[in-house]
Amino acid sequence: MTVTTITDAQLAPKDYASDQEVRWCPGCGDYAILKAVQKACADLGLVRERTVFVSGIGCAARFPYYMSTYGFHTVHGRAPAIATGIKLANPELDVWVLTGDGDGLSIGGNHMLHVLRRNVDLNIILFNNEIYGLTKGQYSPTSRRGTRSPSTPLGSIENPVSACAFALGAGARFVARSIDTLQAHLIATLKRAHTHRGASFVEILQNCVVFNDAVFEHITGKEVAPDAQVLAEHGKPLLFGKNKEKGLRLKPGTLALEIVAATAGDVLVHDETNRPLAQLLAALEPPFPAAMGVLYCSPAASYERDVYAQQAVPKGNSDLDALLNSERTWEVVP
Amino acid sequence: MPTKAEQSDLFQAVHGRNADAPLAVLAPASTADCFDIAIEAVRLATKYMTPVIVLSDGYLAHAAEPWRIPREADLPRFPVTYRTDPEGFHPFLRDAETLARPWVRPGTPQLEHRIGGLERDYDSGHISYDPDNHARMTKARADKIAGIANDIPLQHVSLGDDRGKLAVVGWGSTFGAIHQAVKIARDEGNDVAHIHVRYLSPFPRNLGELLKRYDRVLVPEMNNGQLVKLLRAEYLVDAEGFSKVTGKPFRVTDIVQRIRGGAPPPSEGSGLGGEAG
Repeated sequence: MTVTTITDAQLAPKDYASDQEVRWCPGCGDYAILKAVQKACADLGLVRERTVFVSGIGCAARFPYYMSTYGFHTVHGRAPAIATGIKLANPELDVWVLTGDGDGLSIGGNHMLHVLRRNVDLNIILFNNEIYGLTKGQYSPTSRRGTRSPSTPLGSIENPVSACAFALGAGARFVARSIDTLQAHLIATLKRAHTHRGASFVEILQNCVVFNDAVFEHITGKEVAPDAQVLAEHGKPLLFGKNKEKGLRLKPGTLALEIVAATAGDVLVHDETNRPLAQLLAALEPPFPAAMGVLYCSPAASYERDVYAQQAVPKGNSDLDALLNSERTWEVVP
Repeated sequence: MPTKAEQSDLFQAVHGRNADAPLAVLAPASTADCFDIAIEAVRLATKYMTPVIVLSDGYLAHAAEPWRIPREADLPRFPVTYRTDPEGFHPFLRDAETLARPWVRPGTPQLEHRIGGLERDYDSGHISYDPDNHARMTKARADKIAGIANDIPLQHVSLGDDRGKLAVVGWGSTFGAIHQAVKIARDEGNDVAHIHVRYLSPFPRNLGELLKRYDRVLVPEMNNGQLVKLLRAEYLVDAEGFSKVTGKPFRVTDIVQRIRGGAPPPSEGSGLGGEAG
């Protein structure tokens, strides 16, 4: 199998938009993500007919209708299965999966686990708004304890799953996090994800203005953002704060992080190939800052590559007639 | 019951789909038939661009019979023609005969389109909540499956005459038991025939007319009466159910006794299900 890279450098972001009216609630974070994806497509010069967006069910799942590429709006939680089939049928296609916290981690949690561990070459974008928006605001698997919603009127008593920690646990080889409103960072992250061969998983913190407004305000708010976000960049120290005056280091004698002054000599330098470090970063909760950027990137052979490699090896039993007539068969002679 | 012989998923296969969207359902009558019916399912699936369910059961899976091994070269092939011409293209253009949509492979230039589970416009495939369009699309989905009836064999009578006092109508793995029972009953002088339905959705187009030529229709099933309800609903025939839901297949004597007098056959320990219909 050879994969040729054909790009179309002539296209602008608007050329990746379909002629359909975009229908999300006014102010929804999904608009910013759509814009970022279209910009990333243009920057990457993606060829429209070779690009496929696949979604499950939910607000995020309307995404393919708004792209001028091929698109499939499929079964709740099962976009990874259909995307795997598309990629296997034609590995030269550029296949993206759009999902949400409910679709990808609850209804399709099982599929997400397996597509990540199989390492199919897909770009998987998970819109996390910590709520079921399309069904009008029930708590989701990423909703924090205490979340009050129509289905948890007394507050959720469930412990949320961390999307990035889940992806790492499932064996993902590329795990990144960004925010709908961080356009430049988001576009750069999507482009990095695209260049990664194998499953790339990007969690985007996305504001649901109607049913879960400002749920990430403690991370994304202008005032708090410098202290509440640490940008993970490969080879650079994990610093944060208004003046980058704080840093993360390994707490001596433990496998846990702690916050120290940037001047401390042993601030950790981000190594995106270090899985244990990625797991520590993915799981950070207040009072720690939330980690943004490429938390983990360590490419390995992708699933479809191995499938085709296995198929290319000649096998002894490829003759169907010989196979059917082998073992205990006999002929009745009249 | 898992791992046991039962036919209790017929309703789920025929009616189990979301949103009033039917599909094709076939049932092999014997172990050997499993091979042929799988090929038939692929023929219909590719020609009509629809999912096709093949309903087997534990009895068939565990049974064995002599089977003439086909030669690969003799097996039918169902090549699909992929559209590449952008002129006048819509993803929901339908073939006049089959109502199937064009096959388009992602990667084909200028045929980019989006397709999904929301209701879409009859031609363009764009999301559409237009009331008339939804009614038209719902009908189109039903007509597509119904049209398969014109492309499958007419229902034949496996044993006996094509009219008379009693037709015993079965489907799936009960073929052997019904066939032997009808043979015995006929040898005893009973006016009885065996009809075995392989195409459960849609039904062969002569099935209703055929059933109406018998005074009585008896439907033995390893469930609580599912095919019998489909036949009654579809054709307004006064079909009688004969249920056995013990996880064990019908015995020939179960059916012979029922044909003879309609008296419930003696229990074989695990009990027989009640009548339905």
